[in-house]
Parts: sequence; structure tokens; C-alpha cells
Amino acid sequence: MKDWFRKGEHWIWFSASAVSVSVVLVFGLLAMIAYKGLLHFWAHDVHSYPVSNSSGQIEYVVGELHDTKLKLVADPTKPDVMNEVPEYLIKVGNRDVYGMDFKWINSLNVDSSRVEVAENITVIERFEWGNVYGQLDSMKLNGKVVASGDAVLPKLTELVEKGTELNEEIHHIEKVVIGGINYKIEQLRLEQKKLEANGEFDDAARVELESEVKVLNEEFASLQGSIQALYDQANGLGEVVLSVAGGHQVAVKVKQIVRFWQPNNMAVTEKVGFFFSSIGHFLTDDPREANTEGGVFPAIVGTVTMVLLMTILVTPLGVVAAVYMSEYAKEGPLLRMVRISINNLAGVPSIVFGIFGLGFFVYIIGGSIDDLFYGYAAPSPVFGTPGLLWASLTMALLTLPVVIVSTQEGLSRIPRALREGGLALGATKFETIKRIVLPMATPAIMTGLILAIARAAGEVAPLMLVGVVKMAPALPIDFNAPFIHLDNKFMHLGFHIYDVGFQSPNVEASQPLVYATSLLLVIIIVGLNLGAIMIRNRLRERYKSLDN
Amino acid sequence: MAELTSFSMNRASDKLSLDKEKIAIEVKDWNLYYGSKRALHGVTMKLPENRVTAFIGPSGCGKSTLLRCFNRMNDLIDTVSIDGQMLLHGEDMYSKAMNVSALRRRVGMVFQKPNPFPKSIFENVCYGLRLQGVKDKQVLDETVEWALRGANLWGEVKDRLDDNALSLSGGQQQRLCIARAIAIKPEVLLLDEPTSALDPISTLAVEELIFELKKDFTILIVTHNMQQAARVSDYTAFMYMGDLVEYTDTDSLFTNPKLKQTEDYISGRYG
Repeated sequence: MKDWFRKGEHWIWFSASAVSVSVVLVFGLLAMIAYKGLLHFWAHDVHSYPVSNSSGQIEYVVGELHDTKLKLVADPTKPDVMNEVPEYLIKVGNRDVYGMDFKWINSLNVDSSRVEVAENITVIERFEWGNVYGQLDSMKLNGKVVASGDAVLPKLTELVEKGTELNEEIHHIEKVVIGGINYKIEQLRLEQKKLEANGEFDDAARVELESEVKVLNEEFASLQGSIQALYDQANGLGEVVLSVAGGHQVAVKVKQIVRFWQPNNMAVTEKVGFFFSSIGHFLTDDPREANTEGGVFPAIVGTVTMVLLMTILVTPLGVVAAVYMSEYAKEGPLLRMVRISINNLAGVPSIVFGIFGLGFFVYIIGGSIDDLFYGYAAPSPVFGTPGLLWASLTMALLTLPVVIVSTQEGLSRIPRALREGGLALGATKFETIKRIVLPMATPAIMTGLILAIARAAGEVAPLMLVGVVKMAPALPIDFNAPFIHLDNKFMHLGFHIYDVGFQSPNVEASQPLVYATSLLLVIIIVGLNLGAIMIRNRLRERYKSLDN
Repeated sequence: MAELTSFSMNRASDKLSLDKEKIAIEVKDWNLYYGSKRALHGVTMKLPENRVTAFIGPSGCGKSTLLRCFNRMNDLIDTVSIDGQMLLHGEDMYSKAMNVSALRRRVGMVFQKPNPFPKSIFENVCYGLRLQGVKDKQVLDETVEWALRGANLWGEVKDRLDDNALSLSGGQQQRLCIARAIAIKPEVLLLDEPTSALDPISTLAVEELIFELKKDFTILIVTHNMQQAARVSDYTAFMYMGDLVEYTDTDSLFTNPKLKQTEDYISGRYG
């Protein structure tokens, strides 16, 4: 035993257990997020719960079991004893009928032997008002029944397919085509303001601009016509009537249907297919219902664009600063102080960077840009308001220390012999750094970028101040030149998690979405990092034999 | 091998003398200080053209420091200060008008440890040319072949010029560094213990190469292997504690040293 301590085995065990605890924590967290997040996409069975109410009558509650909690309830026979009684949270949907999507039921009131998987329950996901749970009753068009009984399901399938097509077409025209026209009209309006401000708005310019606007307006009008036609077509698809628990009937317009499924009739393979199609919807759809439903596509685009733009901004700045500090600056108290400051910068709370970004980038720099170049657009700001560019710049500033420090480390690891080799061949110091030192330091620079990406993609607080919004009207990248709109506000997955999880009116409903979004954010960060790691490993391969 | 034995015999037959040589570099009363510490004490010597001059002496005697003065490598160290004069073909190497990069193109250097760049063999050899802005593919090809042949490496690498230079063996890497140095056709070639990191076979290859190269270049070599100095050099300078103790043709220095200090060192009584 004495020997055991003398060999330091206890320290080895201690450090090994510390590592295991960390690994278990990390993987436990990831597993929990993955489980809870992915569960959101599964087609859960819909149960029917017979609940006896206060007057002893039985009411049926139909829905998905969402959560179970233990509640302390006084024992009916002995009032001083408290029993733990399970309570079920059931997602019943039909918000328009019940007012709430969720219902708590006490297990004491449920005859558990009579809980059953309700037959032929159809779940309809709507663009508004959440899900409907009920049994198909009939299809109606203009108040007349066009299908009933067994004929409803095939008819509904056919019509929903058509409705989806029409909706996609409408969405495309509204967002992309009309959005593009609006963008152009807005540009022309600004052009006119600019000419007016410069005093160059003469008759010729007026005629030209007006004719351009006229062309666009005509295009717009004709598009509106075709959209109206599409709307009429969509309305012409009629509605489906369902009977829902509680003896109500609910009519759902076909054009309102995102999709529908019958979970209790689905085989496992069908459920797997449904699972992947749900993930597809989540990744490619816009958010609906104050972000609590639908997909997160704009947030994905926003996050990735912001991170890539940040990388483009932080790399040259960090590398150049590191090169100056480790290659050119004279060692001394000043340089030491700069180094200490940079290291400390990494520890500054991120919200401070956010406030700095808002004050300096948005108001001072952005405001000055507006004054100098966009004075004609006043009073509406162009760059003097939070946006993609300022968010990326703030993030670049936030991650700058990491890039500088790791680049410096990489530079200091390059053998003196190689620099001398370059110099001895008549290269100047600059040429040696450019052609030999920097290329060899790229793996270290990449390491810095990997850390920077991980930090920037996960940051939320500063972004709220400098450009991220709950709901952005347009994507920061689109098909309108110049394709990337640096002044646009954008959505971000991290903020989306905060917003959906803590700011939404329907926290219970959005909880799975929070897990799913978190999982997606983790996957995106891991993906971006893996990309950077792969590039780094290829670079390392090239220089690997130098290390010996 | 055959060449090696024959050249030592050749040399014995015609007696060398510094007075008869054309002079490449002239050093006059050269002092060098690291901070306040004086590392070279008034070195004065003439280095002959197209000959191999070896610098020997115990560690820390200043031989490498002196060698690095010939291409102003010591400029890189902030604490170094110098006085005295150093002339390359009569031109003051340390004058303000002298372009250091241009000087280093005229005085090439090969280091103790092979230091090829992590690029292809081809790019390593033509690095100096590219720096000078040479872009003509044919010129580059010809020069690379010429330099690699000159460094006795062509046969071994001609089929894999695009391979990474780091995949070569240590001896090949050192010859590649020599090829890289001679590709820009310097007047003087400085070799700082070029074989100390190599195995005996590679050492032999480099020594043979030195003998070949002196036809075209003035070669200055630092070594602490006295046999090597005796084998490859025409002239030898013995240095001790920053002083140039004895400097004469190699045969005389090794067979008939004038000073007791030199004799003690070459016979291995101290060092």
C-alpha cells in the first residue's frame, strides 16, 4: 500500500477519474440533448384517456403523452399523509377549440386499464393554431360534402399534395420574386433620394427613374394577379372536417395544412420515414407561430453566414497582429503590456463586447458611414443600425485574442534554422516571413480559428445588441445583387434557443423545439470545426516531418 | 573514394602559399561583441579564392561566429556589435551602401543541421532564383538540374523532384541545402559544420562534394573534426577563445604547427 502511494498511483487514479467525469458530463449532456431533440421528430402514438371529472362523468382526453410529473396530494383517508401521485401532461392540440394545447390530468382520475391507443386518429399540422387531433369525418367544398367515410383519407391526401404545391408556389412568388421587385423599387427610391440630395434630380433622371419604377410596378401588378389566382385555387381545395374529443367538430381548410399523419396506424418503417421528413421540415422551413413551430432555416443561414464572415474578418487582423508582435516588435515592457492586455481581453465578458460593438461599431462607425455616404436615406439608417456586418465585427473582436495567441505560438515554434535558411539565400525578413514562416504557421492559425468559430457560433448575449433579431424579414444572403446584405438584421440559432425557450407564450409546447435547436447548433459548431480541423490536418501532414 | 586519396596526394606535390593566392575576403582587425562580452579579438586574415579554408578550434572559440560575419548573419542578433573591416573582393561588406540581401546572395551558407524548406525538392533548389524574380521555366529547370548535379544529388532525386524535401534522408537533405545555396551561384560558400548531423557515409559524400565545388566557389568551412579539416581543406585557421592563433596551409598546420597551443589541440591534448 505504501508502495502504491509512493508510485503516485493515487494521483494517476485521481486525474483519470477527473477525466472520466468530464467525459461522462460532456457525453451525457450531448446524449440528453440528442434524445430529447430527436424525440421531437418522432410520430408519437396518440392515446385516449378516460378522465372522470368532479361530477363522476367520464370525459375523454385524446393526445400525446408529453411529460409526467409527481405531485404531492393529501391522502384521502389520512389528511396528514402526503402521497406522490403522477400527473400527466397531455398534448391535446386543437388550440382553437380548447384554448390550450396542453392539459394536465391526474392519474387518480384516470382508469389506467382503459387508456388505449385511439383508432384512426389523424394529426394535422396547420400553418396557424398548432395541431389538430381528431377523427376524419368528411371533406367539404363550399359547404357541400364531397367525400365522407373511407373516401376522406385518399381525397385528403390528394388535396393536401396539391395544396402544398400551391403554397410553395405562392411562397416562392411572395418571398423571392416580389421580394426582389420590392428590393429593386427600394433601391430606386434611394437612388432618387441620393440624386435629390446631390441636386442632380433633373427631368431626365425623373423620367428614367419613373419609367423603371413603372416597369417594376407593372410586373408587380401582374404578379399580384397570378398570386390571387393561386389563392383562389388554394381556397378551392375546400376543407376537411374532423370530430375531436369532447364532441366538437373542427373544420380545417386544406390550404392551411402543412401535413397530416395517422400515428396510430403507422408501421415502424413509416414512422422512421416520417422522422426524417420531420427533420427535413425543421431544417428547411421558416419558423411559424412566434417561432414556437415550424423550422429554423433562417437561423441556420444567419448563424453560418455570421460565423464565416467573422472568420474572414478575424483571420487577417489576428495574423497580422501576431506577426508584428512576434517578428517585428522589440521585446520590452510595452510589448509585454500589450501581450497581457490581449490575454486579458479573452476574459472580458462577452456582453461587454456587445455593448462596445453597439456603441462603437453601430453608432459611431455605422453612424458616420450613414452621414458620409447614405445621408440621402435619412432618417432611416443603413449601417447606423445593428446588422450582420457589425455582429460579425463584434464577434471578430471577441475572438481576436484567441487567434493572436495561437498564431504567436505557431510562429514561435518555427525553427530558427529555417528562417536563417531563407535569409541566407538573400531573402529579406519580409520575404522569409511571407514565403516560409507564415505558410508553416498555418496549422497553428487554423487552431486559433477553430477555437474562434466554436466561441462565436455559441455566443448569444453580444449578438442581441448588434444585429440578431427574433424574426428577420429577409435572409442576409439572397438572389438580389450584391447577394450578401451586410446591413440586414439576421436570426441566430443561439438566440433562437433563448427566444423560443424563455420568451415564447407557450413554453411547454416549444420545449422539444429548444432541444432540437440546441442539438442543431451543436452539430453546426462541430461541423464547422471538423471542416477547419480537416484543413489543419492536411496542412500538418505537409509539415509533419519537421517536428523530429 | 579513389578521388579522395588522389587529391590528398596531388596537394602534397605542389606546395600552397597564401602569398601566391588571389584573395576573396580580407578581414582586418575584426572585433565582435555580444553585449559587452568580446567574442572575437582583432582577427586579421586573408581568405584565398577557389580554395577550401577550414576553421578549427574548441567549442566556443568563435569560429562559427566569425563564419556568420561573412554573410552578416550576426545582424539578426540585437546585442551584437562589431568593429573592424571586412572586404569581399575589395568591397566593404559592412558599409552602409551594401545591400545585405545582395551580399547574402554573393555569400551563400549551409548550416549545421539540414534545413530544407517544407516544399518540393524542386522548389527548394529554385527558391533563391524565385526570390530574384526568375520565372522562366526553362531557366529554372536548367539551374535546378545544374545545382543538383553540382551537389551530387541529381541521380538520386531526378525522378521525384516534386516530392517533399523532408522525405529525403539527412545526408540527402544536407546536399539539397548545398544545391540550394549554389543554385544562385554565390562567390563564397560558407559551411557551418555541415556534416556534424550526418552519418559517416553521408559525411563522405559531402566531403567529396566540397572537393568538387572548390573549382567554382571559395569555400569556408567550420568543423570540429580535425581529420575532416585535414582531408578537405587547403588552408586551416586554428582559433582559440576568440583569437586567430595560427593560420596557414593545411599541411603545414597539421604536420608542423608553429605554436605549442596548436600542436596541443591537434594532437588532442586539450579541447
